[in-house]
Amino acid sequence: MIAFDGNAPAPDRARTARALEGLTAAAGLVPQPAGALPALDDDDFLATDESLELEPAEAPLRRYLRYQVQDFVKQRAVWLLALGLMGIYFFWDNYDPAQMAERMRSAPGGGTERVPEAESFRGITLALSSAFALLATVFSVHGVVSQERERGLQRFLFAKPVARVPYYLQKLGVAFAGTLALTLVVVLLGGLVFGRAVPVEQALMLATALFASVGGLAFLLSTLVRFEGGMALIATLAVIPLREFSQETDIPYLRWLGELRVLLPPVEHLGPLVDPSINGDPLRAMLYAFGYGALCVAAGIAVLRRRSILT
Amino acid sequence: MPSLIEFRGVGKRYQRPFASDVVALEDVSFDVHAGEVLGIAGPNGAGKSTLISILLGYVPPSRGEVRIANRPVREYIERHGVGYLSELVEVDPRWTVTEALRRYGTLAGVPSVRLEMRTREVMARLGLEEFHDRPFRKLSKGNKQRLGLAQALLREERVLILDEPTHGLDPLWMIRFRGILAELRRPGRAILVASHNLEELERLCDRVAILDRGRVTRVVQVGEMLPHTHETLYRLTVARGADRLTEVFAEATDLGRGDWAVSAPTLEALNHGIAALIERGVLLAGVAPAQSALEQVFHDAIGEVLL
Repeated sequence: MIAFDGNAPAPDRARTARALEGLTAAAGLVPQPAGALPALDDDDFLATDESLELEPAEAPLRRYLRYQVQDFVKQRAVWLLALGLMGIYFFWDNYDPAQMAERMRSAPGGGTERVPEAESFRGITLALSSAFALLATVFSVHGVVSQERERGLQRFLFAKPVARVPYYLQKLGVAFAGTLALTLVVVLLGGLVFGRAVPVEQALMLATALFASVGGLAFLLSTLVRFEGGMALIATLAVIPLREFSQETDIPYLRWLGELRVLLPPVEHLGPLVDPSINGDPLRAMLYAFGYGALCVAAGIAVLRRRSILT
Repeated sequence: MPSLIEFRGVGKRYQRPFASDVVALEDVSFDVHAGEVLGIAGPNGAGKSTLISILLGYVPPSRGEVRIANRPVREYIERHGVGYLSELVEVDPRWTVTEALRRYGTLAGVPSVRLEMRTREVMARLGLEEFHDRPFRKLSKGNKQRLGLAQALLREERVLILDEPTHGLDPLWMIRFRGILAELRRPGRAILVASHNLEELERLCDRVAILDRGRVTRVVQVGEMLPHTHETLYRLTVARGADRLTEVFAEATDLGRGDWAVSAPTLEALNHGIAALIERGVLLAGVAPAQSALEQVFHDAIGEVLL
């Protein structure tokens, strides 16, 4: 123990002096050649040094989880919840069942038959919850790595017995859980306000797929640059015009540009999660999202491992 | 005592596009033994910060190897951690002093049952109690530095790395810091202190490695430095008769306010000269080395002449 208390005994000076005697003999003006001293492992130090309390570090990262959750709640969840509440209010204030049903019926591909009001409500709820989940993903993952790097906070952080990759993966996990929890809360609140059943399961599946793909990309970008949240959002939204290019243009250059969307989050493949009866296999859509996200996270981990901590 | 930190032929070269490479470190080899306080001295740009960054595993060396307790540095740190104080203390500006220490204590692996007590101890030791609920952004430079030191001391680490530890501290806390460092000495602990302040290093360290333009030019044992083997500068404070100083010390330099710099090859020559001045009626108010033994060695090592 360090004698921090002014009344506590001074360090064992005799032992220190004995050690320093040995040190004086060992320490020369010329650097020691490699391998001149015996190899040591932790047990040797434990055995030879009684003055240090060499208790093992007690699960630092697991215990730090509560601070990562606390940071998420204070810095992100509060704002996202406010955004969600504003969205619910806007929806509630503008929702006109008859008008919505008519719009859905007359929309391209909407068919000529009248769409049940319940169906239109469900569709709108899913669309809004997806938009919320996308924004929540971007806002949750933004700065997940870059913030500490840019502020120089990594210096003290990684002098502690903590590895970079697990630290940031845990932080990403908090963002994932937080995004899902917020989406759930907002969807349930929406159901409560309207007093109707809401498609909770599908909303969560969509939020999961969006986080896996868009969050994965944002994580990769965060290991490389700043402003990664905005960049991930732009990349996600860019899928729409690029798809138009690849399908509807005759200009080879634009068609080729449109094919680049394979590098972007596969949001265009998430349709089956909304309506499997129309769009296809939801499991395949989910695998697509997770595959893309896993590749991005793996690339981000590779960057973390290779990149020096201070740059 | 065994080596705890080993530098073996470490070099660092920063590659720059469209410009020549910058060599920050070149073939650096030395050990820091358990129980030892080793200083790193060097002028700005000598490579001290790069050396510490490599020791922490924050920057990989271009060649050579650094090991702590015979393990690669990141492997050791990710398992055991080290106490580290950086020159510029950067903490999340929103965290209060207490919160920052609790967080760093948790990350350091201080057992949860001892965390509160440990936090209070280091705050008391470093005079941070009255600022315990103040956010980092509202702390003075000196208090930020003390917080930086406090977080480095939260857990009993075997390796302490202090980069310019007294940077920003007021004179009172500079003196207190020496006491704290003396308390931190342990037979099994290696402490590495990098500083511009040679006087501070001379007081604190057992050995000092002098780093110049990326190379360790000398590693000197403090207390066993050999002064007076060449011309040594002394500061004479003259109360009366300064005009006769040059009769004895031909190259005496006026430093102002009654102080003069004179040089002598040996202590005998200095005393002989002082006797001659007194014979001539010069009244001396003080005699002291113009620079410490370490300063002399340092300036010899980097090839600069003082004054």
